[in-house]
Amino acid sequence: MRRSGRTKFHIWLLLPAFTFYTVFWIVPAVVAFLSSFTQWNGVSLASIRWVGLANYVELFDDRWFWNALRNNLLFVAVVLCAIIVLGMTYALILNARPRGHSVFSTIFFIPIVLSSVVIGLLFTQMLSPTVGLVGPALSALGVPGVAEHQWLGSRDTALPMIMMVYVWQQLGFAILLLLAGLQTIPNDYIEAARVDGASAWNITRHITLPLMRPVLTVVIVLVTTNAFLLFDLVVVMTNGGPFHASEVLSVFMYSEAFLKGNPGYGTAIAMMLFVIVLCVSVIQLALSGRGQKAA
Amino acid sequence: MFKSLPLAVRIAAYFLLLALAVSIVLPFLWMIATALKTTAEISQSPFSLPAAPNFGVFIDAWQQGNFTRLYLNSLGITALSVTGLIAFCSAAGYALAHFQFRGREALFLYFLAGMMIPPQVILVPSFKIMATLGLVNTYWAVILTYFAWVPFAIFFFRAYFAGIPRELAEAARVEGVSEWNIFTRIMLPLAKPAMATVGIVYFIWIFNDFMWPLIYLNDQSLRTVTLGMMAFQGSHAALMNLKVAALLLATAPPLIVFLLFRRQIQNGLIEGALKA
Repeated sequence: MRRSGRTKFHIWLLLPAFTFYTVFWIVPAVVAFLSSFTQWNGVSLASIRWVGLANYVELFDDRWFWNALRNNLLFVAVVLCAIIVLGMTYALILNARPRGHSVFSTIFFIPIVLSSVVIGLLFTQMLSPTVGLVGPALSALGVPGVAEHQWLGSRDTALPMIMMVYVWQQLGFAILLLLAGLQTIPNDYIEAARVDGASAWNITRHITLPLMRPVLTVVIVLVTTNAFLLFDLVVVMTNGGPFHASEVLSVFMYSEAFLKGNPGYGTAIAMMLFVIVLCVSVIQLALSGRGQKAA
Repeated sequence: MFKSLPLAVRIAAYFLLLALAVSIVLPFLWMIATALKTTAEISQSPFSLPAAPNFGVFIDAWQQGNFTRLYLNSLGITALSVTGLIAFCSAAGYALAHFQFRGREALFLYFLAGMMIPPQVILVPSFKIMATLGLVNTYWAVILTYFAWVPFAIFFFRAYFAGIPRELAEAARVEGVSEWNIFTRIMLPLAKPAMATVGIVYFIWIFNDFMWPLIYLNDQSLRTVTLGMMAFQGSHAALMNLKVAALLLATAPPLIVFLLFRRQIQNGLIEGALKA
C-alpha cells in the first residue's frame, strides 16, 4: 500500500488487459454507436455516408423490427416466468434434502455445460416429424395428427419450441444459483420458526422468500439479459423462420448486417439491443439500492 | 426436514423431480438408441431398441465430421484464450486491489463498463476491425476478441486480491524482493483458487461460443466444434443415425468433464454469477 511514485509497476500489470479490452471491446462499441448514423455497403470504407438518424427512422418504420422486438419481449416474458417459478420450486425441493437429492441435482445441472448449438441441434432432431421423438411419442399417446407436425416449421409452434428448449437449457443454472442462495440462509431462523409452530409453507412464505430477495434479483436480471440476447438457439433451430415467426433482435441484426450487407442498419438494431440491456441493468441497480436501504 | 412434510407434498415433490430428471436423461437415451439403429429402423419403429446395434456409426461420424480437427481447433483456441485472460486479468486485478494511483477507481469502472456492452453490439465493427487487420479466417480473430472479455475476470481477481493482506507484500518489499517476484512468487500462488474459478467459467463460455467463430472462421479447416456440428447437420440430411451419433460425439466430452469436476464447476459458476 504505497504511493507508487517510486515504481510504475502497476502500469505494466494493467497494460495488457487495458490494451486488449480497449482495442477489441471499447473501440468497436464506440464505432458501433457512430456507424449507426451511417450508411455503407460494408465492403469499401469509401462508401460510408453520414445519414444522421435515418437508420433509426427506417428502423421504427420497419415492420420486421417491431416483429423481432415483439418476439423478443414475448420470449423474455415467457422464459423468465417459467425459469423463475420452476427454478424456485426445484431449489426449495432440493434444499429440503429429499433422498437422492444429489443425484437429481447432478442430472439437473448437466445442460449447463452443453453448448446451445448442440442442444439446438439435438432438439431439432427430436422435433423432426415422423422420425423424431416428440411427434411420434405424442401420437402414440393418442394425440391425433401430431406425428407429422412440423414443430419448427409452423408459425404457431416455432417460437414456443425455442422457448421450451431455452428453459430446458437454462433451468439448471437458475436452480444452481437459487439453491446456493437458499443454503446461505441461517438455519437458526428456520429452526426458531419451527419451534414456534410455523408451518413449512409459512416459513417459506415469510422467512425464506424475503431473505432470498437479493439472490432472486440477480437471477432475474441474468435471465432477462441473457434471454434478450438470444441468438444461438434461433440460428440453429429455425434461423428466424418460418417467415420471421421466430426472429428476435440479435438474429434480425445478424441477417441485416452480414447476410443482407447492411452494416449501418445492423448497428442501429444493435444499439436498440444495447439500450434495452442497459435499462434492465439500471432497473436492477435501482431495485438493489432500494433493497439495501430497506435492510 | 423433507420427512416432516405432509405425504401429499412429498409425493408431488418426487413427481416433479422425476419429471425433470426424465426430461433431461431421455434425450441422451434417445440419442444412443437412434445412433445405433439403421435409418430404416428409425422411421419404422422410433421407440424400439436397435435390433443389431451398429457401433461403427461413431467411427463413421468421427471421421466424416472431421472431429479430430474440430476438437483440436476448439481446445487450442479455448486453452490459449483462457490462459491469456488469466494472466492479464490476475495482473490487472492485483494492480487495482494493491496499488494506490490516481484514477484507480475510474479505471476499475471503465473495466466494468464492458459488462453492459453485449457482444451483439460490437459484432459488426469488430468484424470490420479484424478485416482491416487481415485477421478474418485466422484463429487470432477469435482469440483476440476473447482476450478482450476481461470485465468479469478483473472484477473477480480484484475482489480476491483485496482479501489478501497488504502487509504480506510490504514485508517482502522490506526484504528487498522485486515487485515482479512479489507478484509471481507470492501473489499468484495465493490466487490459485481464483484462477481455477475464472478458468472454469471462461472455459465453458469460450468452448461453447458460437457467434464469434460464426463470423470469423469461414474456412473449413478452422472450424470449432460448434461450427462443425452446425455444418455437419446441414450436409447429411438423409442419415439420421450418423447425425445423432455426431451429436453424441459433441456432447460426451463436456459431459464427462462435468461429471469429473462437478464440484469445481458448480462452485465456479455460483461464485461467478452471485459475486459479480
